[in-house]
Amino acid sequence: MVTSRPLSFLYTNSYDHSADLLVKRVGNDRLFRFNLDLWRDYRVQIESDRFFIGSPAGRTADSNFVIKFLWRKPLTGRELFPERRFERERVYEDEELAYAMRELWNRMYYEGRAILIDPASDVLAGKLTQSQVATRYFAVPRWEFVSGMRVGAERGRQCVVKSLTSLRVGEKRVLFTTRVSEDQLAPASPWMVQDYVAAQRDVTVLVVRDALFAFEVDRSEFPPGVVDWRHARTLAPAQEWRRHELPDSVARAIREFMDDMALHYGRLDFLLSGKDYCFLEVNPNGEWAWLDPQGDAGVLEKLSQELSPDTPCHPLPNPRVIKSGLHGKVREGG
Amino acid sequence: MLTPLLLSERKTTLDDLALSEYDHQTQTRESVDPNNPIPASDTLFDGEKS
Repeated sequence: MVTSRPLSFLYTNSYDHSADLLVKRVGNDRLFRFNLDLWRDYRVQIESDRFFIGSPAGRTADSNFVIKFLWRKPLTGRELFPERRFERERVYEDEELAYAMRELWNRMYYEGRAILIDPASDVLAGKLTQSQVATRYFAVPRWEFVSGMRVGAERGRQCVVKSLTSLRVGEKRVLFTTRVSEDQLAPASPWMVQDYVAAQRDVTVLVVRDALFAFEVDRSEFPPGVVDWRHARTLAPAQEWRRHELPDSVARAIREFMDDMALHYGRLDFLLSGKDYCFLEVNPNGEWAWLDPQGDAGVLEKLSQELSPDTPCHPLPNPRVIKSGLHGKVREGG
Repeated sequence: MLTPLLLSERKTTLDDLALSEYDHQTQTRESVDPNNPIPASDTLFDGEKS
């Protein structure tokens, strides 16, 4: 069945529960979902000026009718199941398909149809660049990245180590943000180290283009010594995230920061220490469903509105101009 | 001295979830049965490759 009415394209994987919520809210007949891990079930034809993709349900996405394109979590089988072994030929085929689909997103981006999430964001401006830009608006804990040498010079300084990539360290093992004393760290390993901030609450702010949704969790509910809420929820009953009222000045700063970063979407993590919002990072493809699973906070409704083919398209900025504040720094400093 | 592996912690994975092949295949290819949603899982949270 060829779809001859406008629709939106959702590019993700088949285990994406957040995408399930969006499909349910926007409607099966208004979205075309492509699950990268199940690509063998689809028919794909990409030509110089048009594409057609047929789904296992018998529907077809014709590029002439795709109004919006959302990159969410397209993951291959190997990325979804890193503990499993995959044949080389299968990995090759997965990557070929993923490459072609990335080019499809590129086409949608240049045609002004890609919305909210830019998969290149982390490459163009990752955690270290974000921290640099954030200093214009927020308190940012001091950080350094080191490899092949000891961290800092202050013996016994309390800090946290965090992962830049969030890749697995061992089988089913990850490095959560962990409080350490910096003189305990093996000098041979690469470390992203940040000053420890004694905070009462974690605050996370989801930005969906022109809307902000803020939530908080009380750190007193974490097990002793744990500083990472993702780690805390693996050790104790899930802590409850509640709505958080952002001061106008902080909301304004977040909007300006997002503009500097050329982002239409992101989840910003802060530590709230007294009245200070300490910036930790922005995840340009951050998850949101656990914050508003029933849609009470309006996140699901806002995302559904942005994704719906029946509302105006607000394409990602082209070109992506990131105001890093670093241009001309060498000349000025030298 | 501490290494990344020594500091790492066990993480729940998709392999740990009791999703049967039937549950997964029938619910996530394209449409979702609102009366029988997929169990909330780690896919909701930021983890690797997020």
